[in-house]
Amino acid sequence: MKLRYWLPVGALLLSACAGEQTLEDLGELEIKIEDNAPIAGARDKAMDNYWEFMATTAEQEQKVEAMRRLADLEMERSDERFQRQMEVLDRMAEGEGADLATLREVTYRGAIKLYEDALKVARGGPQEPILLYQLSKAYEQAGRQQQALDALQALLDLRPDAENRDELHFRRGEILFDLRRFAAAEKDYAAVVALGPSSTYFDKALAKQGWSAFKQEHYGDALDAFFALVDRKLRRRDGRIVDDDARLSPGDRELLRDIFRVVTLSFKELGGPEAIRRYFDDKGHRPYELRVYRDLGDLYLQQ
Amino acid sequence: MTLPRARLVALFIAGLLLAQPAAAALDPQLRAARFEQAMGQTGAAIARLQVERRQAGGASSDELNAMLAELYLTQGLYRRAGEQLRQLAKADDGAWLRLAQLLARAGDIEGALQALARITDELPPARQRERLLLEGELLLRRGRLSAAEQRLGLLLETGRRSDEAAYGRFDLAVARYRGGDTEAARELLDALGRDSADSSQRRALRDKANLTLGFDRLQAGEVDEAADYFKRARLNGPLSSTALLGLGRAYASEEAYKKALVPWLRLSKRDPADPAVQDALLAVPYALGKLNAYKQALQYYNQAVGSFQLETERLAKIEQAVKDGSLVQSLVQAFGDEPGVVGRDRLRLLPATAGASHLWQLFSTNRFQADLWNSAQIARSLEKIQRWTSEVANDDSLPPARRTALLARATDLETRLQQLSHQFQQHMQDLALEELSRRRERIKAYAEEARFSIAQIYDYSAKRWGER
Repeated sequence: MKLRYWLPVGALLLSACAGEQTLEDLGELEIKIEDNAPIAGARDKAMDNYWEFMATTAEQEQKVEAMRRLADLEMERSDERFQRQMEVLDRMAEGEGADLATLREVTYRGAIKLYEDALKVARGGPQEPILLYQLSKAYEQAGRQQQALDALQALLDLRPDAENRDELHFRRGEILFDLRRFAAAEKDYAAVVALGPSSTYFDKALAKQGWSAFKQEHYGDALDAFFALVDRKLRRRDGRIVDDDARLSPGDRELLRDIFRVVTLSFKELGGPEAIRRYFDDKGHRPYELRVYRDLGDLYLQQ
Repeated sequence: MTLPRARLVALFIAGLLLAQPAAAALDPQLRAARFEQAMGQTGAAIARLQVERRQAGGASSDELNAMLAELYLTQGLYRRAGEQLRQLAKADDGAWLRLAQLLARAGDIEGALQALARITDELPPARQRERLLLEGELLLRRGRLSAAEQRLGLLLETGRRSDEAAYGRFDLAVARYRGGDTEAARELLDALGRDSADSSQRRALRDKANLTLGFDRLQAGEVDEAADYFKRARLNGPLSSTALLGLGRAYASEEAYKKALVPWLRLSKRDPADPAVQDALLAVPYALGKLNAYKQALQYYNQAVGSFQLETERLAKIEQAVKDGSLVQSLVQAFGDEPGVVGRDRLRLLPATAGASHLWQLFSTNRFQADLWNSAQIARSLEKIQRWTSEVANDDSLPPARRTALLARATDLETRLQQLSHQFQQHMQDLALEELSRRRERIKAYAEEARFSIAQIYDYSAKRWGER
């Protein structure tokens, strides 16, 4: 009876003596993983540590990375500060407090300085493109539009084949459009369109390309862009274009309403129904031509 | 009244030598040289034979030259031994093998291969295995793969169970791997990795085979196989740190960070002078970071920074001990007589080298061992000269002019030996300082990495939970 209890112990002892332990005998993890433990004041501590690291390290690439993250975190703080200031401004009566442009400039100054400093160190290195990108955003937020444009152009010059060049051209287009530099904006929108419909910016760029041409009174070019977008939206899977927007999302229906409004204005400027006829004769007839005539008629009636 | 132990031993050895029938035919000078050799006075034996040869002019006997070559070999003077052996009409094959071994240790691969080529007859089995192993290794180092495979194949045929055959199997695997036959190489290593032989060398070789396979499989992306090989390694063998690191890497490569933490945590508690442990000190918090355990990651990164700081301070102390010569001096005194034995464990015996675990791998290299041994030899010669100088200075029977001449010669010799000793010690110090500098740079880079990671951990935490 006793022997029966002792046998397994003896066997264990024997097996322990038989050979040295291997990594197979390592056992289980000795510590408990605490994966839900937030660190208080983490962002400030991250910034302090990046500062300290940046000031003492000789390792260039990590130094730039620390500066970049420091600038990103400062940018986050600036965004939050700006939002709070906007809330305060909203509560004030008109004319009180600082003007918005000054507020933007002051709020983002710190982040911009950090990005600019990082960029000086990162020139020619692998982190230059990301820094230019972030800097362009910081300039935009600060309302420094020309510098934002320059940063985006520098990035495109540096990486003409950048994967996100559609976004970069689109953002340039948007800034230029805001600055009422429509010819230049049209070029950047056209650059997005040239990249093809796989870009998520394609539709927006087509619309804004049309608007840029319209603002320059280049109505023919504007109509080309607008109808290219309408065709895309109303084209069925079998390739047919239909005069039916029922299947579109509310957003796209709203977009088409805007487009048809400006199309009507464009044809009005080009001479009215005769211009519509000439356009479709030249560029090919569409199932939604009737809508174009009708919208123009409605405009005349309103006037 | 008892005879001192050394004298008893001397008498015993002398008796043995005199009793040998072969010795009876020896020239009295050769017999005296053999006696001196047996007494450990190899330098005196060499000097005796050199004088004898000079007196004989060009007519010194083959026996004398053979013995001189043998003595040179025991002293590690392989160039002189080689010259001597080449003068012999028929040198002993064993001597050629020993010369080849010395040349190989000194890094002269071609010279070693040439010495091996002088062996004309079959050697006794054990020596034959040594020869085939050495030749295989040298040919492998020269990139002559098929010739290496041929020698190593022969070795495996002649003594399958021997230690040499085990080493030969490893070398053969290397040759096959380099030759592109990776499957055959893995089979050989796998067999070695299951070797049940129990000597410490064979167990170390078994670990080495398993680790080689582990890293090979890890590189090939075969993570489970890699882990299995790493697990075969001993937990406390000389390669266990590398094995622990490798096992953790295997798990981490498939993002099994909890599993990776088991070997890495174990490793991180070992001597932080070990580069593998330094890797683990960073790997543990890295894995914790990947598991979103940011607070724990911070704790371990801070520990790592502390360890690196301590190691940097230790390195500075060792550097000081190297610069002032005390570390090298204590090594010469403690280990100069025993080339090839300065291992990590034995360094603990040296109080002056506390923290020298950073340098044990350097101490174990052939070039450092050769310097160490030469320094010890010179130190002994200097002691003899000083003793002899004192005797000459106090010997009233010598005519003053003769005494002055002898003392002048002794001073000259002492100066030259001291210069030589200084050169060897300086060379050792330079090697040690180079190694320490590499280590310091590595630790500095690791400490920077840890500090950067601390900032990143706060950053990740802020991203995950927002600014609280």
